[in-house]
Amino acid sequence: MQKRVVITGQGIVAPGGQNVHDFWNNILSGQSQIKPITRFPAAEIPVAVAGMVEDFDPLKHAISRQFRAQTDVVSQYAFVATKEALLDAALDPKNMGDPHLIGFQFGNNMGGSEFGEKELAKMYTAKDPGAIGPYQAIAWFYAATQGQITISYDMRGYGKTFVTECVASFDALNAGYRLIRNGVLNISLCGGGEAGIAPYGLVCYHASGWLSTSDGPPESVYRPLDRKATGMVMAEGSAMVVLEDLEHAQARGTRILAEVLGFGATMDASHMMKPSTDPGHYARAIREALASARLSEEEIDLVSPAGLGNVEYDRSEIEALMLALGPAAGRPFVSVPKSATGHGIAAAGAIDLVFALKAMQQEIIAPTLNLEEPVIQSPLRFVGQKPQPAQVRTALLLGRGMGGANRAMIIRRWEP
Amino acid sequence: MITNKDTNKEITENKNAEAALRSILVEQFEIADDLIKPETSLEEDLGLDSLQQVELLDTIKKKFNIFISRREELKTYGQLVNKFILAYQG
Repeated sequence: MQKRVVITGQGIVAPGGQNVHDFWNNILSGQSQIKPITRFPAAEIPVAVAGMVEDFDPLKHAISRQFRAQTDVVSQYAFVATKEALLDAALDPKNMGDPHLIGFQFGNNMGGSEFGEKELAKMYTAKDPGAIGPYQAIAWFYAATQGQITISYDMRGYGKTFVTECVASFDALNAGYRLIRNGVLNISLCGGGEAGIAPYGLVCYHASGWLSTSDGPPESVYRPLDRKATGMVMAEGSAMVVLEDLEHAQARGTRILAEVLGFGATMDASHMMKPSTDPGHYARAIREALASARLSEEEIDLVSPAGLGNVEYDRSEIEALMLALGPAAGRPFVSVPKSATGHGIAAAGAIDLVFALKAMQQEIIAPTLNLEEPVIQSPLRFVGQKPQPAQVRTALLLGRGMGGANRAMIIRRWEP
Repeated sequence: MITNKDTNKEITENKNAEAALRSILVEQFEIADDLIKPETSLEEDLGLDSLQQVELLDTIKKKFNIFISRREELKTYGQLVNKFILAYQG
């Protein structure tokens, strides 16, 4: 028998806040968290702005000396988000019976690239391989975060890291969902993290052609779904949730936030960089999610689009929504709160999940900044600059990434 | 191989190689001072796994230009101090 899967905790470190409470309040205020990049000399990189985690102090978050020395900041963000999610779920993995029933699924696209970049610079500057520190080998790679955090919490169940770019969080969440649904795990920490606001990460993403090089006011550069969109703005951070077998959560009497109902996933199979202009593949992922959730189009209350901030990609995203939702396309509210933070790449899906969970809990949808005139005419009901009070029972979360990946996830507010 | 090309200021000034090593463990590795004794095992008592021992030897190399190989017998803090002093004098 397949288990039902629920979300029992959430945690976040992102532009605007280093816990869910601060983050959510800053986002609701409508204040953009996108700022000029000043943490390194970026004059030669034509990308001027990003969403950054400011004043991150690992000591304040009680991160151990060993963890600090051995990890890139992406692992530290994820550690803090995991810690908050566990606390929120009233969960101590070391006191949950068999540790092999607790897993960890993580989306991450750039690994500990800043750590690696600095070590390589030391080697080339000194012309000496010995200049590389002892932790290079274990800090830069994608699964480093998964390794370090599962060690910290003694989580011994199935763990995996997904390097699927902008949809990586969804792949991690989907994997955790399936592992619990099929009875392999009781609990899985799922989400994503990214920390690419460093020269190497920025240059690589700039080369993809996805990032905006606009030199306009920082708060107005990222304009998802808007006619004047100029490209994506990168964000860093991490969001993690606790996925749990419903019966397990009920047996320990913990508060349940939402139920995970289903996923859809397709590939455009057309181009490495550009999402397909044919919205059919993306629409199919949305329909797959609806089918696996056993919901009809009329039952979706909130849509959280990928919102890449590119006129061409955003147009096909709106078209895909119209195609998938049909006559019901004008019913749900549609909001892109990441317009205030930047796009968290592999962390984006999990950050959007926190937005949706908070909207369900507090009955208010976070605003979309800079959406003045949508890229095409549509019946979609966009949330604008102001938060939108609403009963959000179900949410459809979307992701779209390089290589033509389309993802859709559906959750429902928990109503006992 | 042991090298000691430079006269290191830090050691000549306080004439206390042991104190210099101890301060690395206390300050960089955040190990309680009273745990550090000659018979203390680096791995079992101080919790320095193989990677952290590489970090320690790497720090010694960068700070004092003294290279101590992990291929040599190196289990206790006392052994580390002996090698360090030997290298420093050599």
